[in-house]
Amino acid sequence: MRITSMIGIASAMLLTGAVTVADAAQPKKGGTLTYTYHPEPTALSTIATTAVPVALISTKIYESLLEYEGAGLTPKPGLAESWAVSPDQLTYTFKLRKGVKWHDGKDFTSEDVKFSIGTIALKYHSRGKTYFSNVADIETPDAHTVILKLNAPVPYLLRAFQPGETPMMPKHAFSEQEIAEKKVRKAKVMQNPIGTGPFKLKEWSKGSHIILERNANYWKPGKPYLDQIVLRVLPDGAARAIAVEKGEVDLAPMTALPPPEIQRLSKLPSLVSSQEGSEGLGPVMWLEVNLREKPLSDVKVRQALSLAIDRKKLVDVIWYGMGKPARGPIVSSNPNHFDKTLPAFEFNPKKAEEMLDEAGYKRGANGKRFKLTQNFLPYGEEWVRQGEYIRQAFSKIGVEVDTQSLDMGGWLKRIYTDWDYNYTSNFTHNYSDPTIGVQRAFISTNIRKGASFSNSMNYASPKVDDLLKKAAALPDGPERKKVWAEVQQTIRADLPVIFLIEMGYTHIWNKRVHGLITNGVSMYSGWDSVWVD
Amino acid sequence: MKRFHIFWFRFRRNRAAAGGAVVLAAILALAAFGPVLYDVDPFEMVGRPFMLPFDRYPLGTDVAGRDILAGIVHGARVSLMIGVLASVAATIVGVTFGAVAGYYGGKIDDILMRTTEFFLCIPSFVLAVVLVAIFQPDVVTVTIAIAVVSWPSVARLARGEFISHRDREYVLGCRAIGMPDWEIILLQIMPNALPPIIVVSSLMVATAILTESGLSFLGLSDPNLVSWGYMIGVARTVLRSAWWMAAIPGAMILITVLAINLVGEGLNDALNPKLRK
Repeated sequence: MRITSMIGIASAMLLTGAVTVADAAQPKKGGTLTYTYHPEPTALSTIATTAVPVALISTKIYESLLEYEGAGLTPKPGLAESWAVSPDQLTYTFKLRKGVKWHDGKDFTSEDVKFSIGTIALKYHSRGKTYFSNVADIETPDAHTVILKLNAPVPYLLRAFQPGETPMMPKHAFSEQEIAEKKVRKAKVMQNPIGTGPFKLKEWSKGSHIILERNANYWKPGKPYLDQIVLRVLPDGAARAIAVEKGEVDLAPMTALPPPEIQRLSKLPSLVSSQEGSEGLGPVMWLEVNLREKPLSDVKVRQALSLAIDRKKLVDVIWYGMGKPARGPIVSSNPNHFDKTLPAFEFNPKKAEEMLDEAGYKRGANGKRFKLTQNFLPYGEEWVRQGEYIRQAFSKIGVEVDTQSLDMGGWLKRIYTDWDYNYTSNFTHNYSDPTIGVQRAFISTNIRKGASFSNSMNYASPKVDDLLKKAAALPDGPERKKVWAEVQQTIRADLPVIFLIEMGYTHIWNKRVHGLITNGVSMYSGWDSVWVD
Repeated sequence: MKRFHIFWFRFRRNRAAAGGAVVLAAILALAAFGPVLYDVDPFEMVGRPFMLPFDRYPLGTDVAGRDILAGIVHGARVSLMIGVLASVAATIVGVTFGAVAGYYGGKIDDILMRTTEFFLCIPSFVLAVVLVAIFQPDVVTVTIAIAVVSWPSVARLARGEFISHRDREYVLGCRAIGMPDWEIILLQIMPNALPPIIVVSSLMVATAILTESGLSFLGLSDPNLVSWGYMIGVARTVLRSAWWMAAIPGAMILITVLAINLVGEGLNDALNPKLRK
């Protein structure tokens, strides 16, 4: 009996072992992966806009110099076979892979790299200036060598070469006129993309679907495994959930479904749900506060409002447990920059009331202290529900709130162009380095009319400005971590935004899909090793 | 008083109408006293989301853990208020247009009726959506939008009534003694033309409630108020896992609209007895 059961266990182990090995070693070729995300992309290149739907699809078509491994984004060879950084961190030399072809058959050379960085990314990518404004010169001694010369060290530069951040664009496909007249975003090639990536555009039927097909001449032998990637446009959240449940759609990345549906579908045996693979994004949600007018210009008022919000409840009820309470501008999962000494934000309505009394905003005869207008990010119903909760929470400490409902265009205009608001819910990505993702919202030079996801609050702190500039130039290490800790503490004390939660992206996919989660920006990767049963 | 007695006698004879009136009275009472008797804030997160009805809360909780009964009670007020106000506004505008057009005829009639037709030829719900989307959705714009899409039918009806009355002997008599036009329109013709208009505008309340529900289902409602349509909109995404969340406010809308229609029918029978034959 004992022996048999042991044999049973052993064979079971053998079997599982065999299955795991097969899973890893024998990917199948062919097949189609269908995914869904709302809203539909407005472009096919992150040069046009870095919005989530655009980044999702364009990263399959375009590549960058490097690829990345693991949650911490360790660089590994991509279009560049090797690279070297000089000891003073001012010279980066990339050796390009030979024999790489664009989708139209032309050779990929160092000229394309120089063009993509100096002419395209620097001027048109929304984070291009953060990465490349210190680049003094780009040298191309031969067709397969690129040398970047910098004025000052840029410690996070090696993270810039992701397909969504610095996509390699074909120089030959842009006309001189398009470059000279600054019509890059409207160039022909932006509609009919030519990349080096594992997939190329086959068909875009607006409002319905986008089909990408396998690039047969891809430089990685035998890859990609998939024949096609299809994006299905399904504007209704419930319809997206049904499509995933029925197996019509294989993947809903980055919380593309309503939270209650995610919870329900997570339990189905045919589906996998995972919060892994987005570590390199780090979304933080907050209430962006307009500091130009009373009473929100008073830090005591903002602290009181912060005390009125029960962040745990917010995560549990509105977001169905996806995420955790935020502790500052940097996500707590970032081991290199997050300041672990930051406590959780307190929930204490009583103290909030005392603070408002102290600040001179006593309850009036009708029990109200003052009135605010709130806006919410128009990304779906969860955001409406959250706004309703916050209005409720504020009304309990005597702050009356009127909600204003706007579409995406109206919201962008009101918050970032007109600056005509009291507060709004919003989120931004930390990205792989806080200088890339955090600085833009808090540095005073980014108080720019019309620039979306910038410093709309009018937050100008000379101390934070100095620290941010210092952090941008320092290499990662204890000293930089200290500077960032000070930034986090100062911002927490000033509260130009009221931090809410660190969002948890949930990806849901059908069990027939394999190899999706590869690094901290898995959904923004090329998917050349993804395969389906 | 005598006229009212006749009306009441006729109305009561129609059993469906009497039943409708009872139900409607109950719903009006719910809207009037409900929020006082069941004093739970409909936006308050009272507990875990997706609680079943008859558990801790009489009708359970919605997707954000809010008491559904509180939503029904507070929503009754909003839905009925928007329905009645929009219908009253539409009736006033429609009757004004129709009365002036019908009484004077000629060019004035042409101008007013072409304007009316302009509104009639646009699908009314689409027009309401456009109006609310252009102006920010709040309770005032929603009411106005519903009134704007509802008044043309009243105008047509009022015009027809006024045309049929304007050449009758009593009107000619009024003119002969030199009565001003406004007095003839308001004090002489209006009371005679009113019965069919009352029927139409009472039925319009039902349509207005449905339109408001449709708008808030699409998210085009006042974000600061709970209405039944809003509750259905919230529950829509979870229709397959929690059907009752949408079914409860849906049933309320159904019952209310049905009751108003029955009452409207009864009014029609009571006020226009000749039409029945």
